[in-house]
Amino acid sequence: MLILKLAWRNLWRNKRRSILTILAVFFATLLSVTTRSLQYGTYEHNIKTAIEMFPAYIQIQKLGFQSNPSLQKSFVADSNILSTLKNIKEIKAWSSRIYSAGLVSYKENSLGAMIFAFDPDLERNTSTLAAKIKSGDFISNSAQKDIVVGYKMLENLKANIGDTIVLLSNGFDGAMNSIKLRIAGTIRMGSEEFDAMALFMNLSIANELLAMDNRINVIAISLSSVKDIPPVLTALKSQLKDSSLAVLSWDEVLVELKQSIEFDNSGNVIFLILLFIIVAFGILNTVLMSITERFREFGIILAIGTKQSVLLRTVFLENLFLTLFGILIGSLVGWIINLIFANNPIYMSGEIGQIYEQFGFVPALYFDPSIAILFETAIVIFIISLITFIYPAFKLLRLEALKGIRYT
Amino acid sequence: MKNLFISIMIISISYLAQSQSAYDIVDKAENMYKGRTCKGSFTMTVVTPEFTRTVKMDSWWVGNEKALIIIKSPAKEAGNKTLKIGNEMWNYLKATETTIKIPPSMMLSSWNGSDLTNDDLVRESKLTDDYDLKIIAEETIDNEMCWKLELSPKPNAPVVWGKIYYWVKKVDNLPAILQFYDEKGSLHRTMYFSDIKTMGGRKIPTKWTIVSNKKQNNYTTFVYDNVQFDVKISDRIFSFKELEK
Amino acid sequence: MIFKIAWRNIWRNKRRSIIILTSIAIGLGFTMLYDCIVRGSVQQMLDNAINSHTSHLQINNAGFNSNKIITNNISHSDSIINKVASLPFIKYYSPRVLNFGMITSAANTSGITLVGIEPEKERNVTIIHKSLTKGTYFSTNPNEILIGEKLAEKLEVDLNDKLVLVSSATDGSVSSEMFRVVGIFKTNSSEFDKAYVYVPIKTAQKMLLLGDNISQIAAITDKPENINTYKSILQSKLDYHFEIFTYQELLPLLIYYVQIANDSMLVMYIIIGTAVLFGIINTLLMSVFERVHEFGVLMSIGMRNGKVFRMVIEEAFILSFVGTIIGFCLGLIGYYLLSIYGLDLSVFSESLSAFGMSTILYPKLDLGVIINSIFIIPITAILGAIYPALKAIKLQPTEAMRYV
Repeated sequence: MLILKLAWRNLWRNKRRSILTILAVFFATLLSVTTRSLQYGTYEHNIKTAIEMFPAYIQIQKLGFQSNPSLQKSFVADSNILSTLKNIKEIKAWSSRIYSAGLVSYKENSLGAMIFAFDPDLERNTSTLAAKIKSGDFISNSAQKDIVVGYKMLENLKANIGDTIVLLSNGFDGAMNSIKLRIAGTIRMGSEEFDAMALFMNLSIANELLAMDNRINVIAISLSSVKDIPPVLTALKSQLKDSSLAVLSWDEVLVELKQSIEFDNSGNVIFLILLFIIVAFGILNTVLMSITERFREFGIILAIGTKQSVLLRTVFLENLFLTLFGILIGSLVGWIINLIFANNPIYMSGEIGQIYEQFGFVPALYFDPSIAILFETAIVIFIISLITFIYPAFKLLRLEALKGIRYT
Repeated sequence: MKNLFISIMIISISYLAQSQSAYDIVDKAENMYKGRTCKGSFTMTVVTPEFTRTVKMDSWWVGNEKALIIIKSPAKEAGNKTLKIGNEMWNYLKATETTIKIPPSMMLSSWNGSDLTNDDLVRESKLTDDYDLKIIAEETIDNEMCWKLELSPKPNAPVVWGKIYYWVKKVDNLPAILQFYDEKGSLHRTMYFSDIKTMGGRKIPTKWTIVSNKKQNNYTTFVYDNVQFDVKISDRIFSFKELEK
Repeated sequence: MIFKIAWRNIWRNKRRSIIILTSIAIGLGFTMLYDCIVRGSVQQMLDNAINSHTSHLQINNAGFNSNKIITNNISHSDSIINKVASLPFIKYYSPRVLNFGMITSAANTSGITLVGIEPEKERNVTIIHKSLTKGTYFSTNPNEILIGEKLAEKLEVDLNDKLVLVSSATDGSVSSEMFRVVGIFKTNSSEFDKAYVYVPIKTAQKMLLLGDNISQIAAITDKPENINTYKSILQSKLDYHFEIFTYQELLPLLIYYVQIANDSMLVMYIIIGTAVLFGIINTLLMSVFERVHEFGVLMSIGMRNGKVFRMVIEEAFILSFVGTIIGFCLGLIGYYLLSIYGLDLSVFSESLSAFGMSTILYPKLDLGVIINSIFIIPITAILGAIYPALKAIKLQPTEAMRYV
């Protein structure tokens, strides 16, 4: 108890020293909190952008479709599936899709096409595809024979928006079927190959063309954030009664995307470690200086008979108070900054911004305002502070009364 | 010396004779159901675990060079046509009244959902052109004595198979079974010829079944409803104009 | 004079100075190394693409790049090749036939791009011959084919197995040709390995009914930095019937990566700089207040405010400069070591391969790194010293002297 009182009073005795120590911890915490927020924010944002573009957060498919896609690997969205989807509250929206391959013909040119068919109204709520329109319009339910093609496909076909093309494809039963469709718009997804082969059309027309009889290949599900994925996955897996269906999260559908994002993220971890090392030195310096500064004082205390352990504990408590306080303010201020930037992302202008946009990314720096970051960082900084106390404590223990008094 | 020479001559002649007759056997068998020209109607049934489909078609063939196939039923596909000239192929689709040339990327996809690919249909070459033929045994298939022939691809023949085994019935030189193996000895496809009937003045197998040995329960059958051989077929029908009528 | 005093002040408190120097040195050293690695990896991606297929320049018949159909070929190829070869900056060139086609084995089929090459010429332009994991490069047999490992897996074939290639010829007919696998290659890009197959150019020309025509001439130049000049020279030598593309125009995605890498490094430097800034401000403040008594004496014996100010600033500058030098040396050592041993990232091999990067990264040191490293920290330090310096001169000499 006495030690506590002593420690507390010591802090107030030299305000400047206390403030500087608090500042060191404050800066360390602040910097770490904002950097981590930026990292998480960017990470989540990249995933979100990529997922929401078309793949969606979760997909329901027929077992085996992912490794060997074909029309035969399809299913009907029956009442069990529909009611399950309605009952899971995290599910924001969903869209049924058919995936197939076909041939697009315009005058003398014909090209291979990857067909993606969906209900445009449902799709608008599920993915941001409609926003990727380069020119013309997206497909709509009022003009069902409209399609959207990759802009490169339009160029290769030497066609224009408004032209009618013929789409050929083998149906579910193997029969070849064809239909005339009107190009309503073009899209740019950022991948040249994709933009040369992508064709988006209306689900009901595809259903007829491919003799699917209301079967579909994929149900794409949209959520509010990636954090909702695990609970929704579990809910779906347990509530869907059809065991021939597979429920996949986006990273099982796009394995390479996940790996490249992880790869980016690993760079972040290295950077964070570097940051921690630097701020650790900052704290070490401050604590060390404030302790060595007081060697004269300590020398006297020891000389009048205080035990070393008491001295150590007092100094340790002082350090503890300062550290905790520094972490507290640092976290608070950091959190406010995160919150501000999370709601007002910093936009990158100029050339860099343009390049990002070309590839479908919004050119801005995103912050994550979640509180979990504060706790994570606080614990790390706290541990760092404890570790940095070791050296000064060591110095303290070696102090001899007389040496301390004579210390200048 | 003289004896040796004669023995060699006899051996080579009999070897030649044997090869000759292997060639003859296959050539005859292939011509049995092709003829110089061939006009007929048949029913194709495709069976897979997911669906069964039956299509009725009319066809006109001039050797292996030109062919026209018109689908008569079901209604959805009626009027669709396939035209082959040499090794090129076109499809005419009634629904959109368009003719499309089949590009190489579609050559290897299935023709009308069957176990035959577009390329199979279009392949100009004959078995006798691309393969070396040898009689290797005589076996009984379905109570009929058959020659078993081994077909090995010639060095640069553009075929993926490593070996084809061909059973031809001795009694009428009609094909019985064809087995397609890859170079590693794995069986991919088997073709059965059955239901021998007399049609168009010839005795021919009227039912051909192609079975995929790699996919379970996948097979296609072609059943001739009627056929005429070596009738005059006007070149005119193998034109685009006719296609789009 | 002030400088000498500043220098000595720093070394009077060795422990403190050493700690701050260490933090600067480590911070800078690692950041510099990281910068080198990032630049190295991006450069590698670019080099991989250039070396496996793109080369520095591609010369085609006009319109070929946007629509790669076989009828869009280069006729009188010999005279064109001679024109290209005669230019002094063209180090190596390779005539090619390119066409889309299907390749099939008994087990499977796949869409591919057929590349007909003159083996000896292509050897100088790309590294395919060095990337063989099985088998050998071309010999004299016209029906030899080289395929990628991923494709061999998909088609379930191995060395000496048969493959049939189906492609459209110039007259529109569909041509099929049999080939035997003589070599299997693996480049850093799995996408490349799935899509490209190599055959002798004469066989391709025969199969596609090209005669002596070719699709493209790929060239390696002596100084790729001058690529745009070279392009203009070439374009003026050949007429408008031909189109010329540089590797920058052909690989916009990779050029984008280079720029993105540079920009994210800048953000890193700023954050590290900020961390160091705080460290310096704190350290200097402590040191200033520790020496209040001393400042008091200095000022009362006549040292003017301006000089005191300068002294503190110079202390900051020396600390940061020495720290930067040490950090820079650390960075250089790290760079040297890594450039010999490389950084092993096989954990991420699949995604790296999808991006065309090898699993062992080598760092790249260029002017950008050096400028970033040497200037950012000292500038930050000086800025950071301003506040403590101001504090120092605000002290009243008499009060200061009495301070204990």
